[in-house]
Parts: sequence; C-alpha cells; structure tokens
Amino acid sequence: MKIAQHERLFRKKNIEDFGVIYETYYTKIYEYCFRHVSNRETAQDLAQDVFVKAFSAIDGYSDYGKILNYLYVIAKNLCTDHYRKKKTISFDDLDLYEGEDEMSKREDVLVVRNALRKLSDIEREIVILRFYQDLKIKDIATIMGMTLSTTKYHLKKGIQELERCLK
Amino acid sequence: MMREKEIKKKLMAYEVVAADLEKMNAGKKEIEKMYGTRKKSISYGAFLIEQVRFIQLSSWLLEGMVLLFLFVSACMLVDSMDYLEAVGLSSALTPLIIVMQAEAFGKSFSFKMNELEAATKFSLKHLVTARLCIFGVVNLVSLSAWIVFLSHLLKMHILYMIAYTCVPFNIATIGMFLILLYGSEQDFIYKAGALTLMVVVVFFGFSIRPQIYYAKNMISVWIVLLGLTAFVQGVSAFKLIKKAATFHNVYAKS
Repeated sequence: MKIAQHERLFRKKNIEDFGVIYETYYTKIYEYCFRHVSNRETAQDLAQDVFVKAFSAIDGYSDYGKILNYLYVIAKNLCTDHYRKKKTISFDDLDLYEGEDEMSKREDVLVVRNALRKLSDIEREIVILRFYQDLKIKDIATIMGMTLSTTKYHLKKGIQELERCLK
Repeated sequence: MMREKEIKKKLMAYEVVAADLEKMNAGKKEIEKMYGTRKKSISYGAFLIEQVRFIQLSSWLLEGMVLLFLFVSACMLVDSMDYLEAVGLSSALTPLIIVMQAEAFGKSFSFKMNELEAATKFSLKHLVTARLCIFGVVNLVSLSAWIVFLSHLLKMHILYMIAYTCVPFNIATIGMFLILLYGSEQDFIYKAGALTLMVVVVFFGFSIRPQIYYAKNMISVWIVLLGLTAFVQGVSAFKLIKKAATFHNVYAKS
C-alpha cells in the first residue's frame, strides 16, 4: 500500500496506519527537532510528542495539505514551547567530536550553529525547513502560515545573513 | 553572492546524531498502546450529549434565574411605566440572557486535555461547532420565550418585538465573538460582562426617549439593524470556528 493510502486511512484514526506514518516520518521529524534542541534525548521526546498530538487531533491535517506539513506545524510549536520553557541551548552534541581529527569538524559545527543563532526565529525556522528538511517554498509557507512572498523575503534575508556569517 | 547550494553544503557540517532506534520503537508501541484500545468514534448524538454535559449545571440554573428575573421585572414595568418606556427597557435588558452563559462560553474555547480527548473522537471543528450549536439552541429557546412573553404582555406585534430585542442581543453576542477572535481568553467573563453592561446601558439610554427610537416609523431602521447584526454575527461565528479549530491555537498553549 502506498503512503498516500496510509495517510488517508490515518485520518480515520486507524492505529495500524499510524504505525506506517510513524515509521515513515519519524526520522524527518526527529532531525527537525534535533536542529532546534541539539540534544538526542530531548529531540526524541519531542518527536514522540509530535506523533501523540498528531494522532489526537488528526482532522486538522486537511488545513495543511500534506500530512508531513501538519507534523512539522506541531513540531514547530512544540520546539517553540521547549525554547520558552528551557531558555538554554544544549551543546551536548559537540561531545561527539572528540580527538584531534574531529576538532576541525567541531569548529565547523560551532560556526554553523552560531550562524543559525544569529538569524531571527522566523528566518531560522525557514532556513531549517528549506536547507535541512528540503521542503518546497510553498510547503514552508503553509507550515509557517505565511504568504509565498513573505516566506521568500524571510528566506532571502536568512540567506544574506548566513552568507555574512559563513564567509 | 554565495549560491544556495554552497550555503547548503556549509550548513550540512552540522550533522544530526542518529536517533536511538530502541527508543523510537518503544515510543511507537507506547502510542499504539495508548490509542489502540480506545473507542475511536461515537455517534453524533452521543457526542452532543457529551458536550452538553461539559456545560455545568450552575450555568443552566443561572440562565433560568435570569429569565425568571426578566419575566418578573417586565410584569412590574408594564404596570408602573409608560407603554413605550416599558418596551425600551425590556429591549435593553435582553442581553442579560447571554451574559450568564459567558463563563461556560469562554471555557468552551479554551482547549485543554478534555478537548484533546474529545478530539480523538471528532475533530476540533466538530467540537467548536457542537458547542456553538448548544449555546445557540439554548439562546434561541430563551429568546423566543422572552419575545413571545413580551409581545403578549405589551400587546405588540411579534415582529416588532423580534427587532427590538434581537438587535441588542446580537450586538452583545458579536462583542463576545470578537473578544474571543481578537482578544485573549484570559478574564473573558469580565470583558464579556463589561461589554454586555455597556450594551444594556446604551439601549437603556434609548428607552429614556422611547417616542423617538421606538416609534412605529422607526421600525425599518430596526429591521435593517437586525439584518446587519445577524449577518455580522454569522460571519464572526464562522471565523471563530475556523480560528478555534486550528492547531496553532491549541498547541501554542500546550
């Protein structure tokens, strides 16, 4: 059965189809959460919360076109909430880069993370969705609840800021 | 200018740590366990009854008491006042029908665990529409009883009474919808109470000079106002359903 058919059945709260949806999109949602929280445990907890909430109120999904857009909307709100509550940024993931060979990688990661932190919340969100999650501008606009032109404007601003920081 | 591809390449230096597969599978099983045994849907009737129960008994009792107060005061007014003054004052008191529902009404649009639980059976859109319908039916019954009673008591044609009573009522209702649409749900009952009181005071002002505002030749103005307020009321109710049923609204608060 194709994923589109599972998505249709998922809307009817069929738990078997939920399993397929979970397996298909878990990694994408986890990666998205990770880019926000930089911690594996927290990102996995958030990803699970996304699916719990998605299953609780699946009917709102029609407003976002694709089910993945709907999952990103919930993930975006959960990550925002997480920022609000914690107000700190984790650096746990940097522990993975140990040893001399890994030091330059660690530096690159720090440069990228600092560059992302310099963006406004909206720009960072759009950059993450565009470059890390490979979404189309149209889908990003749906997720952000913005018009296409506003999304393009923020993306352009984000790219300009990244160009400056990553030179 | 650095190209998008180059930026992407540089951004990719920030790698994601692979997810713990055991935790992922445990999460899936937990959710399946959570929802797998749950009754997935109920009939529309059962859903409506569930939503009626959400409104506390005290709200229904208060509504009854307000109606009783209105009936008694109207009886007293008609004996001690000029006929048109009594019409004006009765019209001004009509928004009190809705103010007693303010608490239950405001709570209906503040989504918490109960609402998420209900949304596993029907969508949030259904939930909001069901609650608006319940309040709508109760108001329609109360308002109809009030209009029939007044037209009988004041010996006035029922169409006149509909125009005089429904206009202030609609304005108070629109105010409540607008507070929920563009304001916060915090202290909704106080805001709604203040707004209703303002509507009562304004229409009370009209009743001081009833010969001008409630004269028979003014009925066309009242009818236009009735149509206009009913239209705005409908539009705001539609917008409220749309706003209340979006995820931005629910999950921003979670």
